[in-house]
Amino acid sequence: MNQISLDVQSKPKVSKNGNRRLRRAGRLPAVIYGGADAPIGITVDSVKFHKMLNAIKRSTVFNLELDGIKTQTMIREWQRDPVAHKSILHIDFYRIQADTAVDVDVPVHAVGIPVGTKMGGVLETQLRRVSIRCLPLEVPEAFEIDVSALEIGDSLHVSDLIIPESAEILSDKDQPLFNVAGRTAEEEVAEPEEGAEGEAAAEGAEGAAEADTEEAKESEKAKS
Amino acid sequence: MLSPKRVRRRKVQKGRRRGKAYRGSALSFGIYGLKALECGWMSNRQIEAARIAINRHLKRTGKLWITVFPDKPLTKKPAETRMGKGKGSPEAWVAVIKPGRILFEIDGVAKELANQAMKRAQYKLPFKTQIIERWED
Repeated sequence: MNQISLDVQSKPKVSKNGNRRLRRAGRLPAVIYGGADAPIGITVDSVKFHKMLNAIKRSTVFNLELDGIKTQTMIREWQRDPVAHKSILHIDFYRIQADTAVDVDVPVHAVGIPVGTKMGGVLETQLRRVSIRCLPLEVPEAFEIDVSALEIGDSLHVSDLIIPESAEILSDKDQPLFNVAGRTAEEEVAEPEEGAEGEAAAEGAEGAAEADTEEAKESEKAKS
Repeated sequence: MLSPKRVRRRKVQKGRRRGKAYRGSALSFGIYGLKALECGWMSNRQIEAARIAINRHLKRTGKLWITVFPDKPLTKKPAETRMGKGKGSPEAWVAVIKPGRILFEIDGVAKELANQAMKRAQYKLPFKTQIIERWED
């Protein structure tokens, strides 16, 4: 378990405006739930929480200290601001029990540069997170998978991941994680230049629009 | 250029742009993205211009997603026409953009190259935008 600890304060039941006032005062509204205990509304220092996010992952277990009592939690969910990037509005902390398995999404990171990219291919990421079920203290921060052997047309699947014995994969094992897509030499020759492509597409679209309007006129006449 | 294949209504009312883009405000496909900070209409010509600017800079490396679609018809009356005599004919297609909306996403290239490409796209757009990077993973 990570030794990081975060001081939180209990939150009186407040309205939407009350939450806005909290955010203006530099505190984030949050909730702790899970286990047999009832959910508790809390507030977290916004600056400290954002700093903590640099040190932990979403699946990291850490302590929340509320009125001198430490609770082992992990981040279950958060609400983002749709406009301000990296701005969080509300956090859900999940109260964990060391002997009860939890379902978490663990990020998958590619390691290395695929052989196929040197031949003109592009490494495509198909799945960024894999769902697993395991004990909370054994949740890996991320899975790393070596993609350096991938050639154009090759792919790696969820079943190729090396996971701890205690963990169980919940995602579909046949789902692709990474693949290298690319064009063969014949396709590249056949494809026209960028500008020509754009113009041709534009003409095509205009033609289609004209056809649409003519059809619409005809249908209107037919109705009348 | 992008345009709907067929539509239910050839002409629609102007509408108002209120609120933020709660849908489509997070990166879905790529690592880097271009996020709108203001509201506005983005025409299919502007989408195409931005797409070409990005693709020319990326030189066919990486992958680009356009995450908006111009599905709203704009009408225009002919030049030197008196008012009245009905609504003008459809002239362009626009996408209605609210603050927070992701417009383009890029994957498979270095951060610097993605930033430079999207900087070029920013010049083609009629509202303020921000280049963002996936951070939750």
